[in-house]
Amino acid sequence: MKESRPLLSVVDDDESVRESLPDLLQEFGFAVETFASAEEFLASGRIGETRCLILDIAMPGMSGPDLQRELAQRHHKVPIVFITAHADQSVIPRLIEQGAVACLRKPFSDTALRAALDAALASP
Amino acid sequence: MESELGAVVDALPGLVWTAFPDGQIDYLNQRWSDYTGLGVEESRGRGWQASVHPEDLPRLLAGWRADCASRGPVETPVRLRAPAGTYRWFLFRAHPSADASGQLVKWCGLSTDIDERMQAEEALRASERRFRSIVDGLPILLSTATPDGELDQANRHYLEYFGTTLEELKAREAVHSVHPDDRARVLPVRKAAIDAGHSYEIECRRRRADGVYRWFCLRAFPLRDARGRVALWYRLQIDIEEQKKAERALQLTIDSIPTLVATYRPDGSRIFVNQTWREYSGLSLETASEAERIGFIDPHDAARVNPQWQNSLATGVPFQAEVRLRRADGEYRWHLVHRVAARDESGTIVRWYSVSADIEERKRAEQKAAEAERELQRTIDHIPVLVATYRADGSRLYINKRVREYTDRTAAEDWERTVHPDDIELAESKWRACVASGEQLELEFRVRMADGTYRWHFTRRVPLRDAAGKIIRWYGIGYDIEDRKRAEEELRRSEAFLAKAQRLSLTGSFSFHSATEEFTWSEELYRIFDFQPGVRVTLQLIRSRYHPEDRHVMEETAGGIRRGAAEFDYEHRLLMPDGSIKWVHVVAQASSRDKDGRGLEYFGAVQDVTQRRLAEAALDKARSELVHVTRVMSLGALTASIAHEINQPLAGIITNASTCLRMLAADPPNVKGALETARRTIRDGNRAADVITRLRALFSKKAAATETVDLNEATREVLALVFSDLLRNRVFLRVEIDHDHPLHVAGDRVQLQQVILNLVRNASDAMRDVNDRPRHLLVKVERDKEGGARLIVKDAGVGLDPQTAGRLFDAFYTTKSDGMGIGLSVSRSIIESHGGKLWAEANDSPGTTFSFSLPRLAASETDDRAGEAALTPDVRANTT
Repeated sequence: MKESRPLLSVVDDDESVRESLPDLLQEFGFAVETFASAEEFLASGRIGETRCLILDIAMPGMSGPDLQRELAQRHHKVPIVFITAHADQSVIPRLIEQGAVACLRKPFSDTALRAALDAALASP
Repeated sequence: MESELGAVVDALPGLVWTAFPDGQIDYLNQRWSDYTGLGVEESRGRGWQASVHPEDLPRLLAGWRADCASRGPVETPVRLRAPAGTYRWFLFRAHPSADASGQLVKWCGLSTDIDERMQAEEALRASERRFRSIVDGLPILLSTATPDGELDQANRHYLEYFGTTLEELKAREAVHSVHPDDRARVLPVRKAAIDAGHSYEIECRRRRADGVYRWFCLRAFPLRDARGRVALWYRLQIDIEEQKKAERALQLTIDSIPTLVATYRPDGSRIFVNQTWREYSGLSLETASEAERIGFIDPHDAARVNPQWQNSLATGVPFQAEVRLRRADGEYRWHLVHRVAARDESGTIVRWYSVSADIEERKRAEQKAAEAERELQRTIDHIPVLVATYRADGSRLYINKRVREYTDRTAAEDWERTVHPDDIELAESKWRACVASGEQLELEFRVRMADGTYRWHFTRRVPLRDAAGKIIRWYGIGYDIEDRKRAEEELRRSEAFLAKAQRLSLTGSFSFHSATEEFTWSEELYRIFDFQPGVRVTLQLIRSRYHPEDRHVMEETAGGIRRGAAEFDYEHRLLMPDGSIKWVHVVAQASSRDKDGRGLEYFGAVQDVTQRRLAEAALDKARSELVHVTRVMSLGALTASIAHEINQPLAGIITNASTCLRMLAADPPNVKGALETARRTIRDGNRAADVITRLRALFSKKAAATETVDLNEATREVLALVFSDLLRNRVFLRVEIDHDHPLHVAGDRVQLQQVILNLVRNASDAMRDVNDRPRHLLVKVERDKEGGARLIVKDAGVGLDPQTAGRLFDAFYTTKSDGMGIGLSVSRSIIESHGGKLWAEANDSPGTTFSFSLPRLAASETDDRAGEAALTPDVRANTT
């Protein structure tokens, strides 16, 4: 039964996000997998099932935007919701331009997250 | 009958008689009586004996003795005296007459007048005696020999020379007493001549009776009979000892003269060479003929002079040539060969005499001289100077190659035409004047080059005079001074330029002599000091311009000069006549002691820095304004960094709180989950508070919370935290930490761990793009020499860019696309607030090493565990 829920993947180097976000998303009714880095996600084999990717922008190693480009190159059209703790918003328009559904600044409210996920899952 | 017979007997043309063996004559004819003048009777018996020459009588009577009869008739020449007392020779022929018993009874005789014959015979004998005495008296050895060469007769000298008799000599071998060395040569010649029957001539030594050998010339001529056969050999031996001695002396002379002597046949073949020749060539008389074959004359020279030699042989013209002759050691040396012909009376050439003198040294000297001359010519032609000589009248005699190459070729033959038209008049008039006066010429003028361009030249021409002082030549040199001219021009220009530069830069220059106190000022310096140009500058005059408050600068400078200071650099003010103030910056340097060593010469510059001073003042103001602005901007940027630090835990807090709410709002409420999320919310809240505390500590410049921190342990904690990250980044971590002994420092644990974390993260990030080598990371904690602690983080990353290395620790400087550029700046602030140092160094191998050191923990703190406990609540208090 759990398997029928749509899978969301969370990629964030911050442990507290990986800890807290799955509980909330499960409350929303999604299945959740967390990854501490983009590389870990790419290696997980869960890309195909992932309905939406919640992705941190700044991470050691491969960054969020790097992963976005990598997925595009691999023709994985998974919707992405970026999350970032940086105040600098200049990168956001470019990320949206490149196909991100939304970009949420930490801390974000559960309603904002919900709205972003709804938008992501509604996209073709 | 008897009388008739008697008449016959008397008529016979002879004296007829009969005699007894005892010498008594019993009959004699009328003719006897007529001849002797004694009567027949008177002569009978022994009377006749008175007519016979006393010397002849005994011989005559002896022949008549009875015992002589057996031998038959006897003949005896006897002198008979005529009545006049003169004797004439008669031949007494007596025939024995025997009786029946054979007993001699009588001698019947006839005496015929043989006086004529005897006279003739006597004359002949006398002549023979004379001849013999002549032959014996000749100072040569004469002999005759049989056709086969056997000795026959020899003269007295011959016998005396060999000291023996003819018979003894005849018993000896054919060619006796010949010197052993000569025998081999003599015998074959002699034998061949005797066999062939022709005359011969040999020179050889023969031993005298006393054992001494003397040189003889042996000659033999055959005497032939009617049939042409050799009947006799006449042999003549002439003592040539003296001649030989003379020859030997001559030979010695010829051999001794230090010149190669040789003689040649008319056909050019060599006959004789002297000792010098032999020693030089290393050849003997016998091998001299091989000289040409072994290249005695240098083959090239031989080929060159041979036609000349052949011509001389043909015409008799003396031959003279210089050729190289091969010495025994193989070295060819130059010789002067001179050959002349010797002719006989008929004018036919019989010999060529040759002398060759060694002229090697002369040749070498000549070659040297020639070489020296060539060298001189080359030198003259190649020295980078135009050389010319002139006649006394000033016309040109010679130009060196340089002139021809250098100057316009079309005009090279006429030196003056190469002169620039603007210079020609002056050049020619000056030259004419010098030729007339004999003074040397020095002139600068432009010369047309081969390419048609003109270049400045300097020329100097000096006269050469003979003993009487008369000028016989002019020697001239010329050289290119274009570059010097240009340099002069350049110097003039640069001087003008310098003046302009001084004007523009408001900088004047001066020199000052410490002993004479003399100044040399540039134009601009006069302007700066506002002195009348050209006015004599003295210390007093300068002093008058000094700002009263700066006069002490002048005194100090004067003191420095007296001490011989090497340089000055100072600023002071000038009070100008119009009351304005100028700032001047003076720089001076002692150049060197002057020639007399009495003082120093200073060169210096004075710059009017009034404008700069004003600008600096304005700048100072601007700078302080800028500092303020920067500070404000820094705060803005820091805010972003702080936001990032805070937003992370804040995101957790809000998410957890939202989850918590939803869990509690669920039906049934998920209390267990809500509790967990609430607990996390509190933890993240504390985390955010920690960040705030640290930032406050940083920005309030307050001392960090001080506790005793084991740097080893603190580092291990950080590494444990980042280990998985490092692993993900494929970083090979090596840790060098002493696990058994703590390394205590005083400080804020959280801050220090932030620094360590920052350094390790940076190191990891720096290696993110490294794919061609292992991503090695070394973290090392050790005690440093001062007893403090040192932490080293060494990466193998992209390394430091030397151009930006200096900005590493500036706030907001980052090389990372996603970095804030705050980490290192903050890290350094933290370490410095701990009294330590943080620095970066490029590795020898790729990468960078970041290190920090912290001071040694004071002894009282080391064991102060209570202190740590006491401090902790404060820290906690701050975080809640």
